[in-house]
Amino acid sequence: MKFTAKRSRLAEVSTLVGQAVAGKSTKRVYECIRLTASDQGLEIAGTDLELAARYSLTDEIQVKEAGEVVVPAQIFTGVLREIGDETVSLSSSQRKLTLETDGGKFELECEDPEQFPEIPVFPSESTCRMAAADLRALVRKTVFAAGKEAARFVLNGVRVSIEGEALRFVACDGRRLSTLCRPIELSGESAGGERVALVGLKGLQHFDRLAAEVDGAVDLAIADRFVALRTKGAEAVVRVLDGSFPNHHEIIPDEVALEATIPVGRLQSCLRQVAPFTTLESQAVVLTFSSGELRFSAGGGEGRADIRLGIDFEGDEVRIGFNPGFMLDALKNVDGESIRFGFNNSRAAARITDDAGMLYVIMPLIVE
Amino acid sequence: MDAFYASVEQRDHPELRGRPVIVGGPKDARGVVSAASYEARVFGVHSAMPLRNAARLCPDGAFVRVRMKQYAEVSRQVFAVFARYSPLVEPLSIDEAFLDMTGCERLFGGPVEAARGLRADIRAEVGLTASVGVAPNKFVAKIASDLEKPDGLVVAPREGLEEFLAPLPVSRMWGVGPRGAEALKRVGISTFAELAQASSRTLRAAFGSSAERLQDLARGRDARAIVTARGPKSIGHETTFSQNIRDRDELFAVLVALADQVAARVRRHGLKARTIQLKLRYAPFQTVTRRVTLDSPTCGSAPLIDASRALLDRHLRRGAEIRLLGVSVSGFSAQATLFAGSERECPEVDSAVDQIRAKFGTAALRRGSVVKR
Repeated sequence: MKFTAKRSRLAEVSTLVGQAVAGKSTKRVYECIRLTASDQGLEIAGTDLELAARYSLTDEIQVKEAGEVVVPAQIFTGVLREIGDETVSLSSSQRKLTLETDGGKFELECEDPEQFPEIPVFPSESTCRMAAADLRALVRKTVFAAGKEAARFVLNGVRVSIEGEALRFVACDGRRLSTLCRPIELSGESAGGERVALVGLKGLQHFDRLAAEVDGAVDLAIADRFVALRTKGAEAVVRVLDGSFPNHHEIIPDEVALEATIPVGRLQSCLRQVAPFTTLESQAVVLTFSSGELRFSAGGGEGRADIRLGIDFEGDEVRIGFNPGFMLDALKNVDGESIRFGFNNSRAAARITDDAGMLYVIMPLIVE
Repeated sequence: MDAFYASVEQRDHPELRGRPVIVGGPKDARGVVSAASYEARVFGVHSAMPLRNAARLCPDGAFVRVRMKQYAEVSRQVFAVFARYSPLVEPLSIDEAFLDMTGCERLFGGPVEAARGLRADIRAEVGLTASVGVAPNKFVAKIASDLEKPDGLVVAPREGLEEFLAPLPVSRMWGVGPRGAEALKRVGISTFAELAQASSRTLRAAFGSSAERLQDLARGRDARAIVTARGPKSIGHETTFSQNIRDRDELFAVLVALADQVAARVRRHGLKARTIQLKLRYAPFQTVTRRVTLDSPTCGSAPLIDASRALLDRHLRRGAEIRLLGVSVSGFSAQATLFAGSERECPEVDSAVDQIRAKFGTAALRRGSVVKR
């Protein structure tokens, strides 16, 4: 194998694929990426056996001799990032990859390509096409609400489903939930009905990185055992998680008795001002809604904060307490100048909706 | 309150008055002394001492069982009196509290008058004696209250606190136990005055970061505020067996009863807990604690019992003899959850059981697994 490539692009792509690879593994081959050079260009592939990624480089590369090597991802990408040259030349013989620049030479010990795990291909059945920006919005506006504790495993994933002509993501950690829907175009042999998969965060974050590389559309497939993404030049396949996601339809409040439109920036600022006053014993920031005004209060034995914000609200005074972190998480990921905040009473789920169609459901902290 | 549990016993049982009373259980029982009357203390009996040692020191003492419900009721009466004297009451234990008297001068004519009134009211209404310390801060007040027990009133001077404390032995210091006192003695310190004057370098070498705080306290400096209505940090129950238990079924039955009691108390406080801790003491006095944290906080008996059982099942060594078993919960949170908690949670059942037990006593209703076969 022998080729020259633009150093910066090769570094970018290797890093991207390298993120799918296990950082530390009992077998060295699992810490590697595979480079395959052919007359079509260079393909870089990697997997941690949960997530597999492959990326094809066709521009900015000259293949002089076809071939295949399996190199340790960390060293390879590390070297490529650090050297300053415009172009690099790579060649392999036996189990050795030589990387030559103007200033020097690096030799990497490689693994046996026969031992490299199989990289699954993008399936033809059940695919849909959507805007890359929409996929990115789905990831950004939901994954933050997913569970982070190992105890309730299914909540550590995001529920991904095709509902008619739309793709829906739902993430929930048991105390808050975030969901968003984006339009899709069905293609392939997509049968009718809902297709559902539970996908881990690492896979979705990888999808997001691949989608960030393109402007146009991406293809997504939901198969029985895995979910796959294809962009111009790249593919990623992630194994789905076992287990059934709890019924989220039941917990999303259909109707709210009280609703207020609140500017995002002001709301964030108020929450950040009072949040430091919450304590282990009084964890809540209490929101008190009254006509034309929203009060934020927090604190206990070690100090108190109490601030007011003029808002558009009509109704009797009503109080509801929240973990301020759960509110701020959502506000970081909303779009538009203001959000709509709706709720029924101080003990039931409240909801935040934004201009981009995001629905965030948050359970209160019960305050007397 | 002075020798609180023992004094309640003497109040309720006139035949015990003037006699050494040891609260904790029969003299041949396992377990420890919960309280000793002043008559018993003369013999060297003190709380936390094994009952058998107490029996050796004071063979003619009256050994009585703990009647926690009664003490809690008397405590409630005492705290009701406290509440009349100050809106800022920081409970320290079942029979001790700090009262912030700032701004109450016009009501009672100064803190000393208030202290006299308080003591008289407790004696008249509850029939027990209380010792009071009056001081500009919590630390000195606590020390002053201990100085002339029982039935004492000690007023620390607002000016010259350091001189007031100077002659006292460091063992009087709150938080300095026998070990701490010994460590201080090793660096040549046995009184407050010596501690106050010790070089900070010597102290830091012996006590690290807490040296400065110790020295401040020795000089009577303490800026801590009165903290009212502090919620519990943990709720637990434990039991020492009269005979070591080896039988697994029997251990699990005790565990279920303990976890059930803990759950009921969590509900009574209107709390939900996430962390469950199991405490096991093996026969050779080796104590282990093991804990688990649930997905979402709960106050249900069933999920708390499940979690406790799972802990015991995982951590109980085969064939080991157990001397003490305990369950406690912590990590209280008022965070509501999206899903109806664990499927094992049956709030209606728990609430019905709580009501029945409140009316007919805790023994009125028991779990099947607790009933001896």
